[in-house]
Amino acid sequence: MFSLKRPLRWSVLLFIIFSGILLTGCGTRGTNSNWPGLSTDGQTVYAAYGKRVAAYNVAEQKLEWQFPITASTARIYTAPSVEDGRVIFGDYGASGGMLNPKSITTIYAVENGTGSPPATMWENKTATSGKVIPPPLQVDDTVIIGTNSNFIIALDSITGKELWKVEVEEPIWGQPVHRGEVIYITSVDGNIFALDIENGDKLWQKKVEFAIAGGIAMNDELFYIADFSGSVHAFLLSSGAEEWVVQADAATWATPVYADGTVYFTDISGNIYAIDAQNGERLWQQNVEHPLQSSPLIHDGVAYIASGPESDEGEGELVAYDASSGKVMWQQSTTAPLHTTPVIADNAIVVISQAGTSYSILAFNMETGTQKWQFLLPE
Amino acid sequence: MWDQFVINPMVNALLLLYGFLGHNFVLAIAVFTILVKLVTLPLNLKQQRSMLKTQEIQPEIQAIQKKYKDNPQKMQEKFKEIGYNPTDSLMGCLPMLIQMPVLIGLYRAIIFVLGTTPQSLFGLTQRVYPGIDLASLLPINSHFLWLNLGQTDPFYVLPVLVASTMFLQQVVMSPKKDDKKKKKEKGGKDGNPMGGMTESMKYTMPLMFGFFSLQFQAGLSVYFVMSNLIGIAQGLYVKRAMAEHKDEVARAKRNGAKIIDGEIVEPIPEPVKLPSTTAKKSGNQKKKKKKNKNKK
Repeated sequence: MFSLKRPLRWSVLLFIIFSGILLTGCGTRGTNSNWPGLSTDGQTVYAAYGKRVAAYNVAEQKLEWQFPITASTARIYTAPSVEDGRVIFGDYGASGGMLNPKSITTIYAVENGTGSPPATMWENKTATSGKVIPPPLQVDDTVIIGTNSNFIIALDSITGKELWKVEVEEPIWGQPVHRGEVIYITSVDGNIFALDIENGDKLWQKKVEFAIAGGIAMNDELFYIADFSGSVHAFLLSSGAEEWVVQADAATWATPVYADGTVYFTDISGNIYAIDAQNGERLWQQNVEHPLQSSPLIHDGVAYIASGPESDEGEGELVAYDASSGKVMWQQSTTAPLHTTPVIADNAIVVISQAGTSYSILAFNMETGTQKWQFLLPE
Repeated sequence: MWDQFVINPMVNALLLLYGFLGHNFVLAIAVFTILVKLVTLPLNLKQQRSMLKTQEIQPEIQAIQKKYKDNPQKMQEKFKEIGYNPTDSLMGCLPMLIQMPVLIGLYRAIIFVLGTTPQSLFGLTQRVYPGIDLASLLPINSHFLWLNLGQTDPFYVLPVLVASTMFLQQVVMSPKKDDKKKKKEKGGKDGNPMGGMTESMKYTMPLMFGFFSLQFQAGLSVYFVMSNLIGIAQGLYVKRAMAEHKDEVARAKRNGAKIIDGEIVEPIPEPVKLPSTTAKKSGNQKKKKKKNKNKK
């Protein structure tokens, strides 16, 4: 055994005490964590939930693959983008090392159907140093990614090579959307950009007064955004000119959804609204118990809303409304909160629940709301 | 409880300051730090005074401990004579213990306010008191010079500033070097545990917090730097006040005063005999005489 001299003993003791207090007391929640991400290709759901991305085949109820993140400090909560067997997602950055304050963000492309873990097509560690928060958008052979370090990046989705990069003033949290050769994307400070997909050239830029946390909904003529003051705006796709604005009862957070001539959106007080997409006239309004940060899922005339308390404790709830009248069709409670927009896979409503660090995928019957099955994701 | 009484008030105070101070988050952190320091000032001053005082009389304490180790009552009496109360040393840790929750609370508050992920910003919406128009404050302007306050400083400037200001603060709060030399001569190399702790803290704390700043958001490092600068000013003030007090004590001792419980007790002047017995005694003299009688 060895013995330490008194000053050194004091140093070691102090270091342990303060490190313990700071690290246990402060933790890293909030700096590098988020709600889980969920996406689907119709048969399989893809869940990003911290240290792993998992693909679960809904029809066969089988875990297809899981992709563990090797960097110990990196986390992934970005809903993976799936196109042509390519699954693309980005992480929240890994520490550059004990004495390196820079973080290294990696964007991954993996190949479906190549086992577990799936074969990596490419990894890009240089395109961004900021967290990748919104789901990437794949358009043909290009993938568009918004980052927390204020960049909109286009990569070649086959090789991962950077095609172009546009710097904006604030982080990007909303998923980009496209119409033809134009990319539409929002930044947190209330800016909306229309960019040429070929080279990132700015076609126009529009700013609303308040912050935007979500993305864009669109039809052939208009696009819709919800800002933090609770205003939902409709703009012309061609020029960005504003057509109308409606006001919600509280701040609006999630991306609005357009379906069959109606725009659906939620606010943080738990309200769900349906408004006429042409003139903003309110068609119906409903309310759930919890604050809402996720968007409704609209399918075959039904609006599905997943909710839960702000924390990762307590019960969650899945409610189905008649999309035209707002009448409640069924509602189901879950044992853990639901913070993510549901998806439809193999004729079931699929949600992801979070209880602390435990995540589960749950499937419900679309007509009755009966729970079909539940799968606890590997930790 | 923790959220309700520590984090949420801090979050709202930061947001209010941010709104009042022209949406400048660095300024908000600076003013907030000053406010936190003002609130903890009485405790801090007490801690610093107690620490410096204990360090200065350490040789006397050790000598008394050695001499009266078998007579605790006498030891306590002697401690009282030199103005040392052993419980003060324990109380000296209290401000530090009180500040730790403040520090951790502030860390959480800055994370919520800067909201670098949707989850943390959404958490902020649930913490804001009615009356604060959060929509008009968001997104929080986290840019200052080259810094993004929500991320680490990529150029190492803040970690270096945190470490160096903290080191300066430790130096200011330590006793003078010549005093220490004297103590070494009297108390021996390992005879002074307080000195050992102070000496090791002087180097450990700056290194540790400098290291933490490499991993923390820059906003928190700004708080550390501000807090250290105020701590340096405070330390210099206490040291000066202590030095003045020490001079006073020395002067008083030369004039025959006694030091009881660390306080100067002036000698009672001898009554002056007046030339005439018929002369009227002044009120003061009457009082002094009465006092002397009572003492006797």
